[in-house]
Formats: sequence, structure tokens, C-alpha cells
Amino acid sequence: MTSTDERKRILEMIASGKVSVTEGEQLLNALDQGQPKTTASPGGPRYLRVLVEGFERNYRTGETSPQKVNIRVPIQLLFAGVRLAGLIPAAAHRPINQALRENGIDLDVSQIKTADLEELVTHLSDMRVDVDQKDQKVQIFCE
Amino acid sequence: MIPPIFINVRVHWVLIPLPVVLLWPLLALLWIVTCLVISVALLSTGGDPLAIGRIWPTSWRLICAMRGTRVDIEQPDVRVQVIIV
Repeated sequence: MTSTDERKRILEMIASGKVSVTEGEQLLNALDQGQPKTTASPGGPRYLRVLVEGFERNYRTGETSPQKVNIRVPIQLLFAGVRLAGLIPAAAHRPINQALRENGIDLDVSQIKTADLEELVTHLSDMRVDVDQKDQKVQIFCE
Repeated sequence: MIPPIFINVRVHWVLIPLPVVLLWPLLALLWIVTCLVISVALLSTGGDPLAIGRIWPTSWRLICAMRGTRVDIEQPDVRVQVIIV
């Protein structure tokens, strides 16, 4: 039985009054905890895409011309980059953390692990940035 | 893990497949210089200069992960496309 079927069955049990709402909630939570954790690949996003559409002004002639930029970066590059963070000496962790905190980023560089990044990347698939201005359009998303 | 084989550069409709194997000597040189710089930086900051030896598999992964990178620039008078395959 798939998790969708199980979920449907629990909801039917709640609807028919066989179990209370609280019990049903507990069952659904137990079902969620039993699910294997998703990983960034192969189900997660594979590429970070940046699309820019706009007009570029030629400062000599004053004319504007349409410009399109399409960038595709593999997400795997992020993972490889994080492994390089292992090179940061332990003594440098504190000043880096402090500098990050001063800039509003509460992050401990010594705690960055590939598993955390996988979770982050999985959630990146829901992220989408759309900037729509009069003469410029920027889209950032994962696919 | 398969490293990139070609860097396809397209200018207008002219496709130039650049074999990555031709870039290996340049990459090796860059690798040696990078190792030296990082080792000196690690030594001066109290880190382990030999840690550089541990990043070799990572840098190889980094090179392999570059496959699929694509940059496309389109203007009325020029079109440039770079794809790492």
C-alpha cells in the first residue's frame, strides 16, 4: 500500500468517526515520520536557472537593444563547493561566523554538512524569484 | 563520474566544439598554482597545509559537476552560447 492510499484511509477513518481528529493527526504524523528522507538527486532539482530579459542601452548612440541571458548551473557544483569548506582552519571559524552574523546571517560554518545541503537543495525546488520591471525581467528558479 | 568532454562554443550559427583534453595542461598548471597559494594561506592562518591533499577528490568532483553548465547570451547583433558537455 502506498503512502497516499494510507493517508486516504486515515482521512476516511476520521470522516467516518472511527478515529478522533487527534488520533488521526497522530496517525498522519507517524506516517510522515516513517517516510524515507528525500535526497537532492535524482528526484530533486538538477539545475539552477537564471533568465534575464531586458534592454541594453548603447551609451555612444543612445539606442536600446533587447538582450537575453540564459544561465544554467548544475546543483552538483554546490555540493562540491561545500566539501571545500573543510579546508577552513578551525581558528578561522569564529571570525567568519562573527562576520556573517554582523551581516545578518546566523550560520555556523563548522556545522555545514552535505546532508544539510541536500535538505536545502530539496527545498530549493519550491523557490522562485521573479522580478518584473518595465524594461527588465529576471527569473531565478531550480529545475 | 565523467569529466566534461567538450566545451561547445557557438557564436551566431558557428559551433566550435573545444575538446577539454586540450585544456588539461592549463588546468594542471592552475591546479598547482592554486595548491601552492592555498597551502601558504593555510600555513599562515594556523591551518594544516597538508589539508590541500585531501581536496583532490573534491576538485575532481567539481570539474565533473560542471557538465551541463550553460550560458546563453542573445543580442540583436550577436548570439553566444557556451555549453559544457
